[in-house]
Amino acid sequence: MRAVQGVLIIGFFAYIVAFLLLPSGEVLFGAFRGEHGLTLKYVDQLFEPRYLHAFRNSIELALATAILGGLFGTVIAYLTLSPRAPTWLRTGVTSFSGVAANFAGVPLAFAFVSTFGTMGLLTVWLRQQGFNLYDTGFSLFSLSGLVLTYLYFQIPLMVIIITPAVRGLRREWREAASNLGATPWQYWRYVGLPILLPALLASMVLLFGNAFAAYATPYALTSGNIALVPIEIGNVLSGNVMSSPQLGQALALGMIGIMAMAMLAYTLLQRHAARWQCR
Amino acid sequence: MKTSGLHIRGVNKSFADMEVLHSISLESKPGEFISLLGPSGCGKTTLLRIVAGFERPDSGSILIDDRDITLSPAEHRNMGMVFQAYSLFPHLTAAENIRFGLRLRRTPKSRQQSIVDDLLALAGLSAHRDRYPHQLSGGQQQRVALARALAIQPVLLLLDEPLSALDAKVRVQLREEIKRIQRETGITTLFVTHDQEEALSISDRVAVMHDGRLVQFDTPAKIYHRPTDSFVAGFIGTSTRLEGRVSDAHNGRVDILGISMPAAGVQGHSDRARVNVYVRPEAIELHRADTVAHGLEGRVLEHTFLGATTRVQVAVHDCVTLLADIQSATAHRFPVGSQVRAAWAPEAPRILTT
Repeated sequence: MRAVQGVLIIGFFAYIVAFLLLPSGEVLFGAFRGEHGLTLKYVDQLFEPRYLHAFRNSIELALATAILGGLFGTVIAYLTLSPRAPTWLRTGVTSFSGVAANFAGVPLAFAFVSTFGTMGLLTVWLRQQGFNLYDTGFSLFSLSGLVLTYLYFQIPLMVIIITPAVRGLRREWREAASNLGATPWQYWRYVGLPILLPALLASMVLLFGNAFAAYATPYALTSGNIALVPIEIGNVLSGNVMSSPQLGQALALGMIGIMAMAMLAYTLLQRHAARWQCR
Repeated sequence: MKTSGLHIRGVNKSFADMEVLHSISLESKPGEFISLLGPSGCGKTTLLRIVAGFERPDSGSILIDDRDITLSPAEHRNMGMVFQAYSLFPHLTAAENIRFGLRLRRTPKSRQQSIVDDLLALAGLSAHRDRYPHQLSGGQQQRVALARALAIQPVLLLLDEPLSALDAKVRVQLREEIKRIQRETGITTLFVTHDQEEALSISDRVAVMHDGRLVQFDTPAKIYHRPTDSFVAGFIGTSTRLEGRVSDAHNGRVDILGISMPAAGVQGHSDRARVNVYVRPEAIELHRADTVAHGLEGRVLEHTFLGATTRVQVAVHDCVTLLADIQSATAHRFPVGSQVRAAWAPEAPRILTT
């Protein structure tokens, strides 16, 4: 039994080394490696307006979809788990979330173009009703359109990962709070949300990373017209505009840096929010 | 602490097609400790939840000091409740849990501090004030829950099987503490339990429930010695039920398995009436069959050592098993297989109509 455990553990670590540590090391060193040895040239290029813009867009998109997806996902998970909710709703939401959380890329872009595109079903129908969606400044092919599209998989992903935490909220806590004089709002303010906060933060970091690294969906939807870091990496690696693997590695290093900062912020917040769990 | 009286008037409650409470009426005096006792599914927790405001009755009303609160939401009732377990807020320390209701009421901070200090001392937990629930034992958690319920100076204290998740030793210790604290604070208390020993040991009065009905509401002594219902007679304590027929109501005699036995309780019944005779094990005296001529004759089946006493099972006519508690020191006089006679004092048996 121990031998089997040993083989499995070694296999796991070998996998981590081969597919996480070695590529990360390659990115790290590649970003500083020029034709004539070590250089800061590619990392310096990250501070050019074009790439700063891409980073800003990616962070805004990831933050917006993490926050909105987190809030809507939590509310949906809570409502479907409520004792008053019918069983079919719970089953339906769980099944749909499992599918929708993994529905991204070209099919998702196509689905949204068919619905919300300039000639999409819903857009045309709304126009027939006298409401032109695109007159409001909305465009499916803008950052706000990407937010809407990303929410299609971010909300279900949040439902899946927050459900165990929401299920862990005990009826006794709600009743004890109510018994001590708390209104439903006060229960959420002082009991429900503080207890859920560590799980909420962890889930939102996951959502942030999920949106920050998405490539296929924004590329298929905007044909690369909106500057996002993964699309810029794709551009410099594929050589459509120019081929510069080192710049791609520098951009990937920048992404790792942003994710590291997000993780650091999460760790600091988590230390405060979950202090009652760690002592 | 202000004490209030509780009045439950004609409460009915059904879930879907199942009737769980049937016309329950019960009145407590201010400062009284009342237990709702019954087997699982008898409706006692539903009744407590209706009093707390977590459920609405289909009909009937709940009054506190003659004020109808039937439709008041739970948060406006000012009742303290202790749940079975795991009700402490896990992200708050013991002191913060106790302070919770006071914060909602915007009690001045200095007053909050003194109430929390007093209650922690009352619960014997001053040294654990900064611990989180998962750092406390089950007994300590329930003490904090009790202190939290008392902090808001409730009109009524509701205890929903607060000892059921604890081990036997802590249970006994904590139930004595609950009684002490209740006596010191004088708060009217409604305690739900399925444990008759618990109910009988700490209550001023016990409400025995069965199948959604209140079958007897009386002092522990009367519930134990004078059950008015065959369910209570069978549920409370241990009894042997014997079928009999009144042979001489005037002189208190009943025929059991063809033997005339004393039973003062048959007075008032008509002669020849069929009755159930309930006899407690401690009320039965055993004699060796060859030493006396009166009593029910039987054969000793088994001994169970209970410490100071030994419970003896006696097969009477091979159709009824009678239980008798005798001093352990005398148990050797009635070995397994020996013939014995069981007798009792006229006042000992409880007579109920069939």
